[in-house]
Amino acid sequence: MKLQDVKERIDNFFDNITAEKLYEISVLKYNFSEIIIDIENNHFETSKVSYYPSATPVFDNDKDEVSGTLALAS
Amino acid sequence: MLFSFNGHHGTSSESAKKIIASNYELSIGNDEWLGNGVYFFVPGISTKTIELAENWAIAQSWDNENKQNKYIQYCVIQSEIEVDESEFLDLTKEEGVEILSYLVDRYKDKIKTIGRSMKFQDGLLLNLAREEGIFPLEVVKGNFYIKFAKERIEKINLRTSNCTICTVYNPSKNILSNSIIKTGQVK
Repeated sequence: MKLQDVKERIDNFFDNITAEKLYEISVLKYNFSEIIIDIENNHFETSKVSYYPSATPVFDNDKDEVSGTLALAS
Repeated sequence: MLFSFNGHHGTSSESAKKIIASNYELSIGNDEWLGNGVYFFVPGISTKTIELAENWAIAQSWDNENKQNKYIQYCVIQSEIEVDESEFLDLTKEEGVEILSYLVDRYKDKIKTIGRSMKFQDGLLLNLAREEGIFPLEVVKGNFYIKFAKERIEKINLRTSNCTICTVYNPSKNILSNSIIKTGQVK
């Protein structure tokens, strides 16, 4: 396949999905890692992200593992 | 237009018998390669695809944690792959790389709007593209550097690709036949 064959479909997908939804499926369904930038220490790392839906009332410290897992309260 | 080509897959004799009897199971978690599919060595950078599959079967037999081989008998399976051009992404060619690059750009621009920055891996993006139906995708081919036993033992870690691999996401759709063409023993 060539780009001209699928460009419209790619555009259609990204034009119609919200950034929040894209982030959610990337993390939950496709296991993407997030790049975390620590500006103060000039440090870059990637982190597996555990995503908690907005109904989650509090930050769950038990989920915050040494490996760098980051809990998000959205 | 249909593309047809042979791919070679190295595995234990036990797994090979299951494959011949009931086709392949998907390899899940190959994020750094081409995503969740069945993997084959195909002609490209190297034409010695049977030898590559054999070397892969030997390398994969070693259980580094328990310091012993998981299996001794291995097989190389030859599979006939057929895919329509409209569902075939060839990342060994400029036209294929353009598609992946465009996908990355659109993804990056979108996710940036909420202040996020994700780590990109070929396999994750291809899983996303296929499973979300962004475009039809059944077979993908690409050049990779794969570490076989020699590379692992001698810690040879180059950036230059040493083989061409292809993944088939739906074996029952795109694999027409399987046959064991070589057997051997891990020494």
